[in-house]
Amino acid sequence: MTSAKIRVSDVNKIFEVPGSRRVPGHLATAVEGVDFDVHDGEFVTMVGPSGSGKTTILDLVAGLTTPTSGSILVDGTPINGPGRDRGVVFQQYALLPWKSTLDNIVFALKAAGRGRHRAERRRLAREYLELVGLKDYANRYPHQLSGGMKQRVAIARSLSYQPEILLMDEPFGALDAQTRELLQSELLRLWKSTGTTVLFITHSVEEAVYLGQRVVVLEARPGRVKAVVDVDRPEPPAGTDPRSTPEFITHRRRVWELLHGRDHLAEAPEDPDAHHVPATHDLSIAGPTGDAHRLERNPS
Amino acid sequence: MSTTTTEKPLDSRTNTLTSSGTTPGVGSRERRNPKRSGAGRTPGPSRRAAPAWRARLRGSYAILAFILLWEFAPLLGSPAFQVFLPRFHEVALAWWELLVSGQLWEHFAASFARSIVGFAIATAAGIALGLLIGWYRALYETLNPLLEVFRNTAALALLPVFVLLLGIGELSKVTIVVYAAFFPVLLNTAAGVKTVDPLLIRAGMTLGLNRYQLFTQVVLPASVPTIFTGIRIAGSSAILVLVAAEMVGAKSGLGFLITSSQNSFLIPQMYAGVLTISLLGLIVNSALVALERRVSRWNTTL
Repeated sequence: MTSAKIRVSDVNKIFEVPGSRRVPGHLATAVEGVDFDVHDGEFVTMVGPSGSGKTTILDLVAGLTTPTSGSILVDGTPINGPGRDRGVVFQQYALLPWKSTLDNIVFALKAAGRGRHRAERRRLAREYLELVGLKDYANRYPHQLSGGMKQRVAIARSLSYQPEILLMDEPFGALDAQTRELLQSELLRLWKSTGTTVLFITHSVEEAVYLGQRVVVLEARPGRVKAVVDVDRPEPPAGTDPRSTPEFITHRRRVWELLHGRDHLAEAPEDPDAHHVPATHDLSIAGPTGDAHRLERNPS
Repeated sequence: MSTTTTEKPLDSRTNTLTSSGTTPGVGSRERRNPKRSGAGRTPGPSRRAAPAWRARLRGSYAILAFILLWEFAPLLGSPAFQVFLPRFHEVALAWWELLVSGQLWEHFAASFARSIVGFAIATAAGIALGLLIGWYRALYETLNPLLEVFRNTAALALLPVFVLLLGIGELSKVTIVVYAAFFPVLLNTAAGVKTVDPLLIRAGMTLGLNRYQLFTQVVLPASVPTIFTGIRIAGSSAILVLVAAEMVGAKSGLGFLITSSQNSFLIPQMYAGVLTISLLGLIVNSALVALERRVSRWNTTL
């Protein structure tokens, strides 16, 4: 496939687990035969249970670790370590705590060689802060910001050096539900305006379906790709909750069932997870009722 | 003595950290978000101001009570006892006389110069070697056993060795200060480098930094707070060791002032020397705390 921006083919990653005096060391397979690609400008989400090697896959694509076997191509070229063509956003923000918000972005710009002099880098950094709605917080330090604000700074920092690919490792995992939803829609807005290719890892089915054009579903021990689900959802009419359209619910249910070992969309006899009863029920109401929406947002 | 000097600054440091953390300003709505990191460390302004002020007042009560005890407790003893433990005002008077005559300044300056020179050498060398050891694992594994042997050899035990090899002059005294101050700086620096949040290193790598840039731009600034902990410990042990060294063999310095006053039966002068040592320790410590506060204001974990 030549149109693939990222091509991951048959990747295996085996870790050496160091032994102790009592337990001998052994090898652990983190991911096995992982195969998928991400097209140029596409937003792909990856969802899987813990132990499915989500973060391992992201580290491999970021070039922070190397695969035991298999290949990872970006634009048809094998990757060689980390590169500024791929920006990474971590769950725990990874901002430099001794630098102000603005200087964190200036730091990235300088590392990337963007901006000819300090004044220009500061101006660019301000633009990116404005892009994520934090222009009034330029001189704050990370410990003075809320989690959501820190993650916005981290996103601004990653966007500032204009990577073609944005790799995101559960970036909203540590945020409260409200901030999370807000940042999800902001991320979609940024993605649409920048045209960046995004690979986004999450453990939340809802997040995966809401953000992704395609969802890569992983299974655990060893981590493997179970299925890739196309999410074609029409833009909901303005003012409606995009998370309660019938399409959204269908996709969400499909991914959920894949994750929980049910490979067919056929009617599940009894849903063991009580939280999902309203979701199924919601199909028949199919309306943006606040109540159904609220239940929807508590998946597990 | 050493415990109070290390405890007190830590206290005042947290106070100032919390007060700088709650600067009111734009977006106070966002800042009230209970999820934000460090919530609970920053109580409201009214709750914060009072304890800081009251704590200082309480602290001065204790000092005052101690002085009063010192002033009047000797009266309970025999006249002979009062010779060995003079009343506070006699000590204060002796201190004043030493100050006016210029003797005190002479001894103070001698001690201060020795400790500063030794401390500076130890800090520079300790940071340099500590950075190398913290960054290069092989070097750490090679040197660690030897460093453990040196570290666990009490500096004062080596004083006779230094005197034999380097004579009774300035060199042996500065050397023992270097020895005592070197290890806290070295070990804390190495620990600081080793314990830098791996996430920051990963982030630096994804920004395209090479190893040298990672070290100077991420690892080094991230270890500053830990390095400073070592520097503060080094500051107090430098003075501790120096005074002992001056007591054993010297012609000037506060340690010498104390022993020579004792030998000449100038008991109030002896106590005046002890008080001056406390003063020196306080000055060094608060200077280091102030410096630490300047360079690691961002750090909220310490």
